[in-house]
Amino acid sequence: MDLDWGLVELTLLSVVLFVLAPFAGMLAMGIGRKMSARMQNRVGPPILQPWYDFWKLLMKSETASNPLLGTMAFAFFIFNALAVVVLVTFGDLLVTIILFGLAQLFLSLAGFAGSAPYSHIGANRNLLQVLSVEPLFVLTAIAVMVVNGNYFIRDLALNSSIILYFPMAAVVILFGLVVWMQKGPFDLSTAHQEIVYGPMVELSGKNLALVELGHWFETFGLLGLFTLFFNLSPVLDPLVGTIPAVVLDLLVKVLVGFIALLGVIWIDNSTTRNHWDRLPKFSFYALLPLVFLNMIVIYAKFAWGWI
Amino acid sequence: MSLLKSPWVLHFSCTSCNGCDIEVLASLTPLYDIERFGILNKGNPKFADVLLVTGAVNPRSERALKNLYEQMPEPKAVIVIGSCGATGGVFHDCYNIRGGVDTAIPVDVYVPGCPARPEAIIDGVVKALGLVKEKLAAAASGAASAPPAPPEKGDDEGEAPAGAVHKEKASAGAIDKAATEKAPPAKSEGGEAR
Repeated sequence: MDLDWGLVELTLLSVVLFVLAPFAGMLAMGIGRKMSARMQNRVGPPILQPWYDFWKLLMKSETASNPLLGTMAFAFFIFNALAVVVLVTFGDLLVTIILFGLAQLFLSLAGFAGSAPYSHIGANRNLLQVLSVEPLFVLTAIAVMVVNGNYFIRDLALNSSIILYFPMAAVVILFGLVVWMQKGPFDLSTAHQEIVYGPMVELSGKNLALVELGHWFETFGLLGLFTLFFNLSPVLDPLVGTIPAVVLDLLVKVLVGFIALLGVIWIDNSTTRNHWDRLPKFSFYALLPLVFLNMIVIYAKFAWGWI
Repeated sequence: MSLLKSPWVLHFSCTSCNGCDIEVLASLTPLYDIERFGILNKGNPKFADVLLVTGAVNPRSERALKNLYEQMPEPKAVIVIGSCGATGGVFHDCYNIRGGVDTAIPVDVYVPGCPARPEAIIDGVVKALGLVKEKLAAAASGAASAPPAPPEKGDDEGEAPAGAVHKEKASAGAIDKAATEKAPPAKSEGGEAR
């Protein structure tokens, strides 16, 4: 991940990461379900359960009431995959975040393409979730830019002290993951049995499998974004750019992602689903000020030179 | 076969007394934990592989039942839970009761009992999936699948056997054998905790 790396090595690393991304996301979802089960004193499904679900869905027949459903499901998958492409090629942080948001927009459009009332409720709630959470990610990215000098993840990945400057933003982003990954207390749009998986109500068979695949990429990407707060470069300083350093850095990121997942599942299991209008209130009154506070400190230090 | 590892369930209460419905919900609890077999209660016909029906059929619930059945994508299986769904049960001579669920839609597996035990329900789901697997294998080998013979009705009211009973005539022995081999073991961990 060092800039001294040649184009070939960086490309190779990116390709390997991209190929592993859906499997890592799938494993994260399976491990999440297992963690959830253990917290409820259950045995829980096998860790490979999302894998079995995916192949099962592929062999089911279609019942789409509107051909747009398939198009929107495909768009959801492709934009999540594109966001992961930008992430694993160490590209633009802001573009990654916007692409994840765009994917959610297409999931909402899939909801609006269906005719079921729950589908429309779910689509509206999904838009509300994006509206509440996306600004937190974007503002954090802007603050990161001030510290880092640009939006490129490849420079950010070398900056080990980044977490020291973003204690509040890291907490807020962890909460953003909870909302984005459809976990409680604000799993508004899928909401299990309450509105029967919201925007996905009318999807079935291969379309639903595509959405699942999109969710694998999304889970990998969101946890990956969170792990960018934690880099190892000063510890590895003499090693930076060598294979062991990159592997060690990736292992630390996997560990951080695992702990973040544990946190998300813990919040999911220890809270109940809230009313939908509490999400924007909580987000704009509690979380946004936290990010702003973090931003002001960052600007004072790096842009205005007050500290 | 990934279908056997990931059966998503839709539960519909036809005109049930809710005894069997409570047993269906009981099988979701940590004590029985059906999710360890990948079974999820999805509540959405378009997601579902297995339709769990409780209670006897009357003209009003028949409409909803057929609607749900038609919305489920193939391959699918129908499991009837409890005596009422199998035959009409204690309600069989009520003025509004049509009879068992098989008077409205084709049924694959009957789980007897009043109410059925959660273990028997889990067993029934696994057995139904074995049946779906056979159907798929038959379809893949190119054999034109004949419409299933009208199933016999269960005659086991008053008893509560632990396992599900498969009543269809065609190759019943082979399916039962396959299904019993895959039958889940009784849950131990939650039981100890209790």
